[in-house]
Amino acid sequence: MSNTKTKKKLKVAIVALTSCEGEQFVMFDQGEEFLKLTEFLELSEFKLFEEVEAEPRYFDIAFVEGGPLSKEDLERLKEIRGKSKLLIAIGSCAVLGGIPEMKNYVNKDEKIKYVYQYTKHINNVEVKPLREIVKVDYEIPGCPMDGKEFLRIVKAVRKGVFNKIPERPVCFECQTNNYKCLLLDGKPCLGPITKGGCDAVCLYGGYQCEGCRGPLDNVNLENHQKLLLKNISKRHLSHLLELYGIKDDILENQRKEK
Amino acid sequence: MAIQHIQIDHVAKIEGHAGFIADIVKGDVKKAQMQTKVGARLIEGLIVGRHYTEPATITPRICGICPVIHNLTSVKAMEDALGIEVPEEFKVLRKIMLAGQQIQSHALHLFFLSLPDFLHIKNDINLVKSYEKETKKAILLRDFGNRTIEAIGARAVHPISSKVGGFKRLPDKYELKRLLDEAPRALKLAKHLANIFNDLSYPNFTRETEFIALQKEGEYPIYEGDLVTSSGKKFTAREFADEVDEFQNPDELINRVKLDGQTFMVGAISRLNLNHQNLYPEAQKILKESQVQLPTYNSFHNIIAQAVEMVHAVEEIMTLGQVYLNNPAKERKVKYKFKGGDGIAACEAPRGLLVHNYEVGDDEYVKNCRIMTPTAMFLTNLDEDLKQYLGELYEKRSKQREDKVRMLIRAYDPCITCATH
Repeated sequence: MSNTKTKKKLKVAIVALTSCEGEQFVMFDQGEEFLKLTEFLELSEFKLFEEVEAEPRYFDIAFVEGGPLSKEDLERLKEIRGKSKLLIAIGSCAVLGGIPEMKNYVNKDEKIKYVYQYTKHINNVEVKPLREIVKVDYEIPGCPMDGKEFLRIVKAVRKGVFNKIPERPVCFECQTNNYKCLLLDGKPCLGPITKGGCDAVCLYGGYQCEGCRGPLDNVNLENHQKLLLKNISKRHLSHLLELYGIKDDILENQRKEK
Repeated sequence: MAIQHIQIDHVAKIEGHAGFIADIVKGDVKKAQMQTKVGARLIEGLIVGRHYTEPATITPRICGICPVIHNLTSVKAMEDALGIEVPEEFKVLRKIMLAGQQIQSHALHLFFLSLPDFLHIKNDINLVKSYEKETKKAILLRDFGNRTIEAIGARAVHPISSKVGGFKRLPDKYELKRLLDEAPRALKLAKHLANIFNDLSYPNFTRETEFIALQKEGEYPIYEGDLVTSSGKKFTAREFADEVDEFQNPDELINRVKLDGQTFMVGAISRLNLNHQNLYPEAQKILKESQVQLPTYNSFHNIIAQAVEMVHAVEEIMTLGQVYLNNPAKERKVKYKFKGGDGIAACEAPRGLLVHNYEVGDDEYVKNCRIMTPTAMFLTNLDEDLKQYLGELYEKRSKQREDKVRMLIRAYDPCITCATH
């Protein structure tokens, strides 16, 4: 008997709340590497992959992407939390609030009227990362998350290892890869204050880092903002920090520092 | 039982969340309706007030399966607003990216979402186990599509490098060449997979409807063209956007689209019906072997149409890749002087027509934004199909009937996250 047969597989749920569902496609894009995970994971709940008659009552791990933007999302999040030993938030929406969190910085009542004629029945809640609503055991950031990092983390978590994502800025990988520094070019790059691990893919693509993996824990944000304001307007900086939902995290960090 | 109520809370194996309800009174289907179940992100509203360079970053996040088309349609609409003309080489690169996206999106839908319906497999893990070789092929082909996107856009899910006026980084010649070296193998994979779909037996279902797609002489267009309908109308993107009705049912969270008060179909089946004469030779062969007579009004044939397009897209990469290598871009972006304006673009997403429209003020910020997605366009057509199909399935047992309903929904390949952006 092989080991995989005697050892019980971990029951896993992959759940998408309101989002682009990009994290699921990143998983899928890992191709055979992703399918190989099923040697030790049992995909017990993965709606993109299967139709289940009745959902199991227990999961060892739930991966949740997206944000609870509707009442149904919120109920689902709480239900999944209740059923799962570990809940892992994946992607910027779940970890930071992501693109939809831009709502929090504008008049969302006006915005909903801009998009829809009938609005009374629609929940138009403030957007929050999952950890502000339920207990989250681990977070894999990124918009989208990095597929290789996901595979690495899943394999470690299976063994009960929760390595903290290194507190290294995006600049670390940018320099290792010998990419051109866009900050020196006067571009509003958030690389120095953003948690790396993405292989600086945006810099590879010729684009500045916009902070989708969230700010580093101990970093001087104020200085970096002052630096950026030499080249861009306050409005531009404000929009940049709103894009993936890091503005509130940065304000929170600054409050803690003081 | 005189009144029957059908309720499917969640249709699995589609992008985003949706359910379905129907009421049948004495065999007469009174109501059949798809119900979207995604929260309000309000992307159009969020874009208003943002800088004109941002929709290219924000709109791909509408959808993880077709981010490339949102990225490029927004770029194209913005270039229209600002009066920017881009050189042919840029269009070639964009078309190659879109072909890559069509391969990965179609391969995923065909193999992992729709095929299991024909094999009566509920869980894809069983598909993977029973059809190991084919799974491997589907994965390899998707990978080819993804790497094509990456070669130009730097990343498959949420591309990075394309921007208003061109690119932030031009693709590496050698990387493109490597892709082209691999393309004959990808073509073989695509043909093999397409043949699987030619051999399936499709439900006998037809309902006449209007097909709409881009059309351009000598092309099977994805990136540019006029909008034409199967009844012979022709629009520019602007005329089309003015002509259609976007409407919301009071209890829903989606702006559906109708034309002249009628439902219509967009997507692979529309493109095939309207443009099949411009398919590349190998795709033509697959179409011929399918023995589908065009125009087809059987919505299940959307699956065959996607299979044909998957082959076509590999041929497109082979052709345009060579075109680009013979005449690569000299600069990565065009120089332009900013001037605000109102711009619109229509492209073909894997699931059908996609329209982006932006009005930009002289202060460089977006004043108005309107996005119409393929699923918002065809969802009401799907309701009509389901209504008729349910009537035809009246004699079947309820379990069987529900399976058929799911099968038709998945044949459409709806993307609910796009529909509810």
